[in-house]
Amino acid sequence: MKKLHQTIRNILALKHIALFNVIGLTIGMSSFILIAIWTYTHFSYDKNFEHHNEVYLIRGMENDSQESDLVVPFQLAGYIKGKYPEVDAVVSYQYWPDRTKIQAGETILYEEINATEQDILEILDFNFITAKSNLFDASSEILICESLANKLFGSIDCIGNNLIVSDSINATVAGVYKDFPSNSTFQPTSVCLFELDEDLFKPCTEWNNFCYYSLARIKSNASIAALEEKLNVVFQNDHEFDMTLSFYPLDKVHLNHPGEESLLGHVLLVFSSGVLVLIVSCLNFVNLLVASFGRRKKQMAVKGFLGATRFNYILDCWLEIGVYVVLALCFSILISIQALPVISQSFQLNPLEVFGINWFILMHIAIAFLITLIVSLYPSFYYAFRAKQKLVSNTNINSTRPTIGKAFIVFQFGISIIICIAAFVMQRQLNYTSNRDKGYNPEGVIVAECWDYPIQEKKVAITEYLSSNPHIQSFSFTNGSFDGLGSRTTGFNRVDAEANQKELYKVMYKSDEKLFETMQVKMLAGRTFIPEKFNESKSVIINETFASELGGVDSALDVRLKNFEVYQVVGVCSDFLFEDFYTAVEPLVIHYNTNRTYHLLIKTTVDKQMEVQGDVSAFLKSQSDGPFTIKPMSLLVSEMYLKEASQQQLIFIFGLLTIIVSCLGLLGLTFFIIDTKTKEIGIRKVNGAKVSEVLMMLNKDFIKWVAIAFIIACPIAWYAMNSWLSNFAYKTELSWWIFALAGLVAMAIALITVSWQSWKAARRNPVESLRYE
Amino acid sequence: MLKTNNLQKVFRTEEVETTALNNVNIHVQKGEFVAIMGPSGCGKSTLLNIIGLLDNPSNGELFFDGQEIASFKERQRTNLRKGNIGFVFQSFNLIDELNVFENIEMPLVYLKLSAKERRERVQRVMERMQIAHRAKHFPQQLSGGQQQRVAFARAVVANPKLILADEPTGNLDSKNGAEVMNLLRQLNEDGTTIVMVTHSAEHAEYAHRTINLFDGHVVTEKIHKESPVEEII
Repeated sequence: MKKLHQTIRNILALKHIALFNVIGLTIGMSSFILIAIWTYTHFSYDKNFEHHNEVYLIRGMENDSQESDLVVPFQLAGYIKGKYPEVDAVVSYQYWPDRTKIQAGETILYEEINATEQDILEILDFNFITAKSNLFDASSEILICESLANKLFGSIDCIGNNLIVSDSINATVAGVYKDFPSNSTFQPTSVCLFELDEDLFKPCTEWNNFCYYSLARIKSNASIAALEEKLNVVFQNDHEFDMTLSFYPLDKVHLNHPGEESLLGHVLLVFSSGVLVLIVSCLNFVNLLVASFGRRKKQMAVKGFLGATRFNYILDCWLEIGVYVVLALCFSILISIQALPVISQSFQLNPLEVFGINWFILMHIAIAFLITLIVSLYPSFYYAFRAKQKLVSNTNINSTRPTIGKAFIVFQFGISIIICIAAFVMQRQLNYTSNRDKGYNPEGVIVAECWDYPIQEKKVAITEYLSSNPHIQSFSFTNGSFDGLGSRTTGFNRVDAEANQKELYKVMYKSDEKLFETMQVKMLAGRTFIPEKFNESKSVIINETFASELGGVDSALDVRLKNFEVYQVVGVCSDFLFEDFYTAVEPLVIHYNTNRTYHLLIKTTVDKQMEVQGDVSAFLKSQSDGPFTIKPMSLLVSEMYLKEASQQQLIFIFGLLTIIVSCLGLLGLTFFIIDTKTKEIGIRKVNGAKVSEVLMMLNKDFIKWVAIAFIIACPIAWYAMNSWLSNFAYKTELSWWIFALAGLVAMAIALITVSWQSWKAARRNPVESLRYE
Repeated sequence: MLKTNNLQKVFRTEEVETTALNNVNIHVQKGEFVAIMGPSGCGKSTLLNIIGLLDNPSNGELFFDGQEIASFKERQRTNLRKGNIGFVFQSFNLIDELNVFENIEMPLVYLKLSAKERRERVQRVMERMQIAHRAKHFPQQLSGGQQQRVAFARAVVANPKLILADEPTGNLDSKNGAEVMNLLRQLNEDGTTIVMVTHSAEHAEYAHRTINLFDGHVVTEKIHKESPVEEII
């Protein structure tokens, strides 16, 4: 206890250094814990299922394009069922569930109902709170989650209660299960059999309709490769698809969804920046701790003369580190608990649900222990060996310290500069995605998404309303907005193509005649749709990319295209972006179609956009209680980059924290360096140095270190960000000024940090300085 | 050259107020060599620091070359000190990280002289002090006597009008002490005014006159020999 008192007294002798140490360690520890939990939550996806390593989704890969997707034909599951002993269960599962009207007494909700097959209960873990026996023995049964049960019936006690689905289908609640955890790929709120209503739940069941997931449970001892080989041999004999099937583990879907941009790189990038904060704060701690030993050389020397052994020195060192780590641990737990809800809200993840508070605190303690071990190594060695040796020989204990301290500062600032550059480049790319010429004008455009809204039935009323609104310049009914027009599911070839020529899938878009006016997409040749003059049912307009495949903009106009029917190309429009910036513009076919259009694009006068949005929303609600979403086009586009935005935000926060910790380190080191230079400052002042000259003498070293850090950081940051940007088909440039700006920011922060202390030292009375030892 | 009028210096801490100098009146003529003596804590070094413009008096007047300078701000004091006053300390106060040449060169750097002129002046003064062969050595590689000679070289390299020496022989053996005193005499004979604080009566004999301080007061003044120059302040 007495030893502990002495240690605390030692720590408090340099209060500001103690404060820097605690703040730095707390920042490092809490950042690392939070990011570790966040990362773990991503990696924990779908691992909560008891048999998660036996659950697979069937993936189809087109042999031509090598594109793969987990969305497969409905019939695939039935085709596999019963053929292979390794497969315990296989079901189709609706991929695009509609928000369907569900009525329980007076309560009406629009909820997604996932239609599937009975064996789904063998594949996913439904944690039933209450259920009848022999679930799904009748096709009218429906299983609902706890939260939906509470919303519909006010309690979970609803087994046997009736629901009316989509106004006319009667369903009976057969089971209530706990809501699936937030780290599940599949989170069905309600599940029924396809047989509940085949028209509603099985709209596309042909082999060439890719609309369903196929989920399978395969025996754990089965060889997946052998099973895939068997399956593909038979499948390709039976079908004309040039497609390879494989089994894709469910627990990999979240991080590496086939056909989508991998999340793994994003998670690892953010995790690494969190680790860097921890490394920087540990280095900072070690640096300041060892520097503070230098101030205690007399105390240590006396202890040495009085018989202190190396073990005593090490014990002193550990005790001091222990006190710091325990303090940081307490603050870190407090901060992390406060920050967790923010993480849950911002990133739609609930780490505490995955982790639990006890594990959370245990993990904290484990990390604190690990940090203690890591940060103890160098100081212990230094304290026990170097310090004793130097003290006895009465030479300057700090003679080698500045070099190591400088190396630490260079490293810390190097990392800060790299993270700053990364944050700048990411922000620039995000700005670029919002501001780049997309080939259309999103300004003033609002988008109403009406998948589950009776837009076709209300079309006349809507058209009348929109036409009468003076702030609406134009509007168009289409089957998608420009944030992703859909799958490449439609094959088009020239009518005069040779028979053996492969059909390449093109993106098919359906719209009425006002699309081009509303979105201000330029026509390069031909005409837009004119339904009042021509029969447009077999007319298509293609984009420039497709036109060049067909021999150029002008010659494309004569081309007739066929898939199931024959279409005439009547116009060529300029390319516009209809996917994210990762994807280059693909060949596009716009078909005149007014029947299967579920989106409404409305061009408003810019200053009235929000007002019009409110008015249209109110009007749509007045026409039907069907669900729809309405938002500005610009928001829709920015939502395509939420992952990048969150990545940028997190990296910016970690960059900021790294800089704060580095500044604390620099501040501490400045204190020690000025401490060792006090006498020199006095001598220089006696010999005629002005305050500004002393200030320059002190600061020029710091400028030098940051400059070295900058030189080291630039190529690393360039390489990293160049790799990151190479993922984008459309990207901003890595301008030199981003690097210069990051360097200047780091330099300015470093100078502001050290100048206050340098100024104080330079202003000090030289008489005092000369007296100082 | 130097004159003080009722010079006072009071050091204050939260609990204690200590009067280091109390109404000190001294007068140093140009070309004079003055020794200041007295027991430890009597205010010798404080007086030296104030007349060397390193510290401000609490009260009283200080004249340098006829100009009242007690109320000078830091920048003015620095400008006046540069090139006019050289310092020699008991503990030499050399910068460990600089070699002999660089230590001596320092005042010239702050006087913004050209590199060529600095080199020539330093070379001259090193030869005069017989330390030219040690130009590249660092202070730790020199004996006490050599270190003090480097400190002297640094003090005189800018050709100051006044040299203030604070117990310059305090850390030296008798042989090196005598050498230092001879150096001081030599400098004085060359026209430099010298004010030296010392504990040694023997070394005080080198001066024209000795001022004795006790508890912050001038108690006696003893003239050893005639001052070579008269000056009216």
